[in-house]
Amino acid sequence: MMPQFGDNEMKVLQAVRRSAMDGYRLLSVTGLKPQALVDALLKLEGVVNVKGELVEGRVGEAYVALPPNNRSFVDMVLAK
Amino acid sequence: MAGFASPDVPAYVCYAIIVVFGIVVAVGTINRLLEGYPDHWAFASTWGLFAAHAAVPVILFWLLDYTGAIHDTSILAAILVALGYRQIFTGSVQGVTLPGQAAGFWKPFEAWVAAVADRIGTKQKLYLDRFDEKVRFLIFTDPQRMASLETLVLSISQDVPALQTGLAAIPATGNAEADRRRRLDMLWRDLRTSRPRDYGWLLYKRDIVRRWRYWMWLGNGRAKLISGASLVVGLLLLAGLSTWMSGAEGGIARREASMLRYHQWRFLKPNVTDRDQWRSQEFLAERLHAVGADAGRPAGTAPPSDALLSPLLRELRFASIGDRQARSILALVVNGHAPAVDVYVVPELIESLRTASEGVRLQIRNALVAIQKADYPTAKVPDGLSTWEPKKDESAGDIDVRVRDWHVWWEKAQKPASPEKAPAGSAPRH
Repeated sequence: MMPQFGDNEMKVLQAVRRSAMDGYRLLSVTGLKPQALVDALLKLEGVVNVKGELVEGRVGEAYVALPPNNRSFVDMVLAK
Repeated sequence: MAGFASPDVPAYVCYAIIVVFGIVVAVGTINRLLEGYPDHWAFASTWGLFAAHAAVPVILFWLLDYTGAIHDTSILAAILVALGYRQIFTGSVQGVTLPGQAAGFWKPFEAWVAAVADRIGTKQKLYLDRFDEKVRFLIFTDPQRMASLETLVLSISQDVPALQTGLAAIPATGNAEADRRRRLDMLWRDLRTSRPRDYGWLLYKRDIVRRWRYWMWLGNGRAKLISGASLVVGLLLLAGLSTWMSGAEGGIARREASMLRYHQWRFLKPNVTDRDQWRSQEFLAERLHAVGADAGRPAGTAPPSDALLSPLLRELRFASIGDRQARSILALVVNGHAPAVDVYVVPELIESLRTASEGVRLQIRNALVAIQKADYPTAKVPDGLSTWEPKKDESAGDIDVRVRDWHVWWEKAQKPASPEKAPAGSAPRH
């Protein structure tokens, strides 16, 4: 059963599929507001790897990456 | 795959191919597995993963040869394993199958990759935090840098009015340092938000951070430095090995000793190709003739008889030695007979008569008789020894009697076999 992700989560997945990056860059690439990014990352728990605090004021300093083991799963999600 | 029509070359050439191709493939594999992690070559765990990926095809090649799936002298098999070892593990290469549970070996590898990726993520975050902290400290302690940062941020901010409002709204705490710190935090956050990709470059251009600090932490400098250093170390090791193995007399002797050990291994290896065994036989025969003739090679480079033959003759005492191996060893020493060689070979052969295999005992007896006829024709072997037919149920005592009789013959034979009294026709037969 494929989980359902919203637009924000898909934007995050698309970004981290290309490269791991810090939260500031992720905000810039996805165009999300800090709180929206926090929400998206919380929904993507287990799919992406987040180092740092998931709170609005500090999400920019987090480091978000896609683990190699989840790459094919994310490719499948993005292809849909 | 064992019957695969491929050029048959020395095994060390195939292993060299595997190592070179394996390194190239390993670099590509690591770059693909960790493609999402910029700067991944800056981490020791990545190099560990690389070393393991480079070693896997070598080990797999040896394993496949050991199990008889391929020959380690086949160029095509070497290239196939080096390029397609992952497919071999998953069983998708026809004709090359791994034994037992070996295919499951790949699973822990995948888990290791995940662990390394996680570690790199943690380290990257740590390094970014350290860079931030260091730069913010530099700015905080230097009013000139603080002014430069403020100018920079106000000139690039995506929302200047909001920033100005925010700066004006910072409440005064009565502590000048705390106020400056709050101001710096706000400017820093705006800088990172406005220019998330090249904020480091902008800080460097405004002389707020030095070039090396920017290059090291944000310009992939650590990865470039560590990769370059690894390349230099690798090249130095290769150059050192090459110097050690070549040049002066010591180098020649080391190369000769390495080649000798290699050919002894190939000569005794049970599942070699005929051509490979022929190569080793030619090498060992040539060295044996050099020992027998005691000429034709630079002084000190011809291996002594015991170094040349000891590992081979010792095998004759192993109860389960293969018939082909025993024949090959005995053919080598009989073909290379010469008094200088016999001095070492004959006592060893006589002691090897104690082996449990009656077939090998018979072959050894025949070899001793052949050596006697060639080099010691005047020292007749007693009929009881030359016609002795080893039997399966022969007792240790009976064999010991034969061994002692052969030793008695050998003591007598050695006297006329001394060089000045050597009979005509005692030169090696080649």
